[in-house]
Amino acid sequence: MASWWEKITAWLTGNTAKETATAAVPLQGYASDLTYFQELFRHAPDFTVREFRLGVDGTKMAALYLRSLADEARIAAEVILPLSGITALVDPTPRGAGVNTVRNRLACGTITEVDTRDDALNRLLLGEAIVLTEGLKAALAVDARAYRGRSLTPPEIETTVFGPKLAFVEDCELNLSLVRQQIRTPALRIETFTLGKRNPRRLLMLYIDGLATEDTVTQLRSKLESIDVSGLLQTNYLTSLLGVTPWSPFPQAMQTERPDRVSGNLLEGRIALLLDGSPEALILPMGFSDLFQSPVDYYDHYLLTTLQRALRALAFLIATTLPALYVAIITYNYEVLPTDLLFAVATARAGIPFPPVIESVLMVVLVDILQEGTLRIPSKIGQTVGVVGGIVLGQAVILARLVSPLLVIVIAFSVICSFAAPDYRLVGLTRLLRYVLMVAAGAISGIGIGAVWTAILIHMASLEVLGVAYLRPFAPLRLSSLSDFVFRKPYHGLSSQTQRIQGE
Amino acid sequence: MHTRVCVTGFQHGMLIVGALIANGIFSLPRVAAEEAGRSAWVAVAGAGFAVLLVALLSNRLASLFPGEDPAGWSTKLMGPLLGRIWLLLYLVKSCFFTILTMRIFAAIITNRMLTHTPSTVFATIILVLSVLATLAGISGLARFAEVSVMLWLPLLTLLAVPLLGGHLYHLRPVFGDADISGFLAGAKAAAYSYAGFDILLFSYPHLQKPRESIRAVLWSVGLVTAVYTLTTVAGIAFFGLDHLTRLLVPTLVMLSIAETSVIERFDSLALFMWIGMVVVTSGTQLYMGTRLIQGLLPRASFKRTAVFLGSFLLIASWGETPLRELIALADLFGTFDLSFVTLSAVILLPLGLLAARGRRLG
Amino acid sequence: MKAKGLRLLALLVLSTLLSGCWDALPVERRAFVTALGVDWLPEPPHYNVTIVHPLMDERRARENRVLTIRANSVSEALTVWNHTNGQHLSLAVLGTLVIGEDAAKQALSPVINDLCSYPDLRLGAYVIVTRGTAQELLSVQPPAHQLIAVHLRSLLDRAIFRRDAPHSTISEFTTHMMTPGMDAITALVSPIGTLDRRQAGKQAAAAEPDGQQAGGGGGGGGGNGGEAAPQEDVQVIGAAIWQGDKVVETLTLPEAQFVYLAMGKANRLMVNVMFPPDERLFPKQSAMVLSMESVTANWSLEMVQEVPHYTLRLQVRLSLHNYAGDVDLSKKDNSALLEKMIGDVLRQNTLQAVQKVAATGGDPLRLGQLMRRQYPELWNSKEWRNKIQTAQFTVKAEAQIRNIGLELLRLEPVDK
Repeated sequence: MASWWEKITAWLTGNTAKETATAAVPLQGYASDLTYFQELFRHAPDFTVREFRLGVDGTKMAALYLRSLADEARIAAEVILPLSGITALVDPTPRGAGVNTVRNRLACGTITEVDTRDDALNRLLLGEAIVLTEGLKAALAVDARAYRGRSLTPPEIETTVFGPKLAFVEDCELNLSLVRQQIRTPALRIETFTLGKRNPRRLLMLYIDGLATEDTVTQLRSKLESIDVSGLLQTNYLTSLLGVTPWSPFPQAMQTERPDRVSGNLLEGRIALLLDGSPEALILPMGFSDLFQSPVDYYDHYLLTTLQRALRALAFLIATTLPALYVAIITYNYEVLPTDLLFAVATARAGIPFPPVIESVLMVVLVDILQEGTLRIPSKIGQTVGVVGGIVLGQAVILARLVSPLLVIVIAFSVICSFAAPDYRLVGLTRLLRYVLMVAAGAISGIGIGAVWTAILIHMASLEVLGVAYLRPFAPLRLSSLSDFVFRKPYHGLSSQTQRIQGE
Repeated sequence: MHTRVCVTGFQHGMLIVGALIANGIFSLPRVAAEEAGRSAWVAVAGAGFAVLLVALLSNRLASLFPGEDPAGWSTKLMGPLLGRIWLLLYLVKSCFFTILTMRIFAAIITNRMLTHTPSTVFATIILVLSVLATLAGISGLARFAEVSVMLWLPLLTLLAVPLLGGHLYHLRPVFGDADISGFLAGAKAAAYSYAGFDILLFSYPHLQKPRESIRAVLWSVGLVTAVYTLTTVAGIAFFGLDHLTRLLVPTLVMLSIAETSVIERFDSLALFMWIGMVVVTSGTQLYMGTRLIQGLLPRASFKRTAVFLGSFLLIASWGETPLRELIALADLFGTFDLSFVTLSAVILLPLGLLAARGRRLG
Repeated sequence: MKAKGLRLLALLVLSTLLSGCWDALPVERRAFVTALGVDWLPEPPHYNVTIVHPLMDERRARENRVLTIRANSVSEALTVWNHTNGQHLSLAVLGTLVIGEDAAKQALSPVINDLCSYPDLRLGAYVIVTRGTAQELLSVQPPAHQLIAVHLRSLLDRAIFRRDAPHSTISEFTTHMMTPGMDAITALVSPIGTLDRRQAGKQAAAAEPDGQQAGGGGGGGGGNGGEAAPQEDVQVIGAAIWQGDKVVETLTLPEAQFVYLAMGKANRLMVNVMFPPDERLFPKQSAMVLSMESVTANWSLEMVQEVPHYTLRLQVRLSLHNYAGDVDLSKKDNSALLEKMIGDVLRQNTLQAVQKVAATGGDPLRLGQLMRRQYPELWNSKEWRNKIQTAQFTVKAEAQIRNIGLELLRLEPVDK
């Protein structure tokens, strides 16, 4: 049964024909296979067939590859040149012997035997070269991929003052090497998956044997194996494909562009996913508390880190709840405020035409639109637009008596607090929750705020990611893990045990 | 039936705390003082001790049926007819408790804060949240209870602010006002506040380490008893006996008197956040009700049953009832609830032990 | 079915969330009663209720509106106000409940019951009694452009801090009113300068035949045509002793201070005490200011032939100001002598104050509660006031001078 994601993808691409599962077709033989691939790629000008003959007896061979993905020079040097020197195949008819002769002759590192057309096709599309040999019903796939991506650059989103300045790129092999540079242990396990029927992509699953829980690894492995999609472009598509509550707005997998962050999480027993073509790694399982952790936390003094984490949590609370509290207090629960402040607020609101909830929603919408606009404007004028929008508009609405000055302060503070989040997805979540809380507060006062937060807590309590509770280390409470949540112990106080992600 | 083992010992205790502490605490000082006078706090503590004993008996009963909650073992233990009758009575009790919990809190809000809004609005909100909590399953409910109790129970430390203006002489002489019958009446009056600990029968089968259950019961009931006792002490010390017995919800009044330079009234803020504790209580009762229905109708789907039960309870409890009547009803219900649970534990435990012995010998 | 159920649930949630706007009323549309005055009139309707609320208009943000309504009850007065004005009255930020002198001698419990029927009533509002009428007090235009209610509340805050006034909120007043064995004591205040000011205003008006009014509306104080009128203000002049819900006696400020001392609530209290001459310490009768740093007041009770004998043990640690003597107080003999003298003076004054209070039948010292605790078998909630009136009192006071200032001996010019 096609998943909802499949249906959307199919609808978007205009391809609504159902994929029918077909049995893998074995390789038929040199001529037949060659014709098949030529026919398949007749509209692909980068599809190259380099035919040559072996040595003296002239056994036909062909190297098939996609020029845009494979390194032609390597193919020439590592495949064609060495094979041209073979004088004869020893006993060519028994399939295994012939293939081994060819394999022994090749000068490249990664050689895989393929015996089906589908497998060969997938490897072609991954940039490997397929070597067909007349008389053999098996082919060899040679890893001769060319890297045509960008060079290593510093992270753009997760910047830090101290620490490594490298970010992932679109090539998962290169990304793997970045991780390898940090995790130098043979216990690092790498499992390869190919996802996408029409648009296959290679996915690497990384974990450290002995740290990652076996159950979690098994669960994730079986989920990855059961993914049935046409294609996969980015790692964040995986979160819904892996079945981690897709309809929840709470991020349930970490996305990062930093190799050091991946390494740190691997050492905590988590699992990382690297997808070819995507410069972000996905880390699972993730909890709500992980949204407040930043890579820089481990490069600063532990007291400073503790303060920063507390401030982030407080900022999140303020960002989501302060506008709603303003609405609730101004509309219903004014008795909470000290008397002098209450009079100042009431006086400031005199003459404002809108009820507090409308006033607040309008301001928040204005700020959000401004935010969206500045994201898409070229950076050179983005700052100007931000200043114009923020200051001028803000001043104008106060002078026009559309909103009260206190509300502008509340909204501005709330927006600033939302950007204190180390994970960008928390910013989006904050924006969403802010609206919900404001509407609830406008409808039924602070009880609405309490009710929404209760609903949020219930939702988070029900979330599990690969068998691990989303609310850990608070629920279930693990005091040892708390030493690395809000408080960060000095390094000598942090043991590997304190950080192990334990499934339930 | 494969029972998912997903509740830690701490969560087990927190479920008990969350199920116990909700609305009862608001009127507890008054209802206890009306009967037991100045020894009300001792009566409340005594009631806590009695509840602890019953809770331990219930825990022992639950331990006789590993992997099964009352929905599973009741008919096996009591026979199909008696078992079903017991399940039905239990179901009625849980439903009534859920209704009372949501209606009382809704009435408190409309009584103290939003006086023009129908209480049905808040009752609906609480019930919807309770259904959501139930749908999260026992693991989600346990986590929710754990976090809620840790977050909202410390609100009660706000009572320390008015307590600074209290006078301990109001509490003396401790045993001057009431005789033993008054003391017992005071303990009985606290029954509603102590109702709900039987959630342990339903969470026990899901414990990761069943041997932690006794400790969980001890500290959870002990904590609740301490909280209730201190609240009663605070009420008597602050208002004196004569004033206290004329206040409908003295704990809230105490919170409203607590003033600081930043926040002038704490009762509103406390009510905003206390809704979480109320939802834990009503959620646990709704969960129990759902499981009990599944005990009566084994093929019923858990999620559909929870939604159906929640909708049914909302419709069944539609209407406005004055808070004072609800509190009086709660006092009566509390006695019934504790009696039911105590009798069940006292009668079923020996039966269960016999059955277990029979199984071992067989 | 699942989708339908979810839709139904969502509809339910949405409808409840959107339906709760019955109580929505922004703050600027509410009138916050910051002070409430209650006066009694002999003819019905008996109550003169003065309502003070600030005007929530940014142009008139520093102005009060003071309105007096005659009604049969406080709630009737508030209802009349609601009906005749566009705003909704709120008692949530009530600062002070002012009871006029005459009203204080009537039963106040109807007023308290009236007010407690409002769920948003601020129970932390102070209860005070005023000389004259509450209406006059709340019409005072305080200095420095303050609002009378804010001024009154801050005045009381400072007085309570200094222990010149007792901390008596509506909640505490109610508890005292209802509990046998204790009575309330509230601050007694009085407006000052109002009569003079109004007199000056009338004179100025008479001197300006073209109708120019002297003095203005608004919240400012003082200043009008002709000679400058004395500044209006409010001051704490003593305390009112209640018996249940009626005032039975008023005390001057010095008397009230010694009552607070007897209650043990006199930390930071400064009392000006007259000392008799003593050849060893003072050449002549002198007044000195004693600043109480810490006070411990322990009451004990002994029944002697059914007559209560109350003993108060006072332990006071104080600072001395304006020492009039000329001996070296760093010498232990001298300081011990002075401390004994201070103890005697405190004892006498406190005993006088306690006896005066006991004679009224009011019990702010909670002597009845002590009897209830120590002699529960003799305790009778209906008879205790009579017993207090016939009680015997003994006061023992120990003083310890902690601080005498910078000098050991008086600083005098060299020529003297």
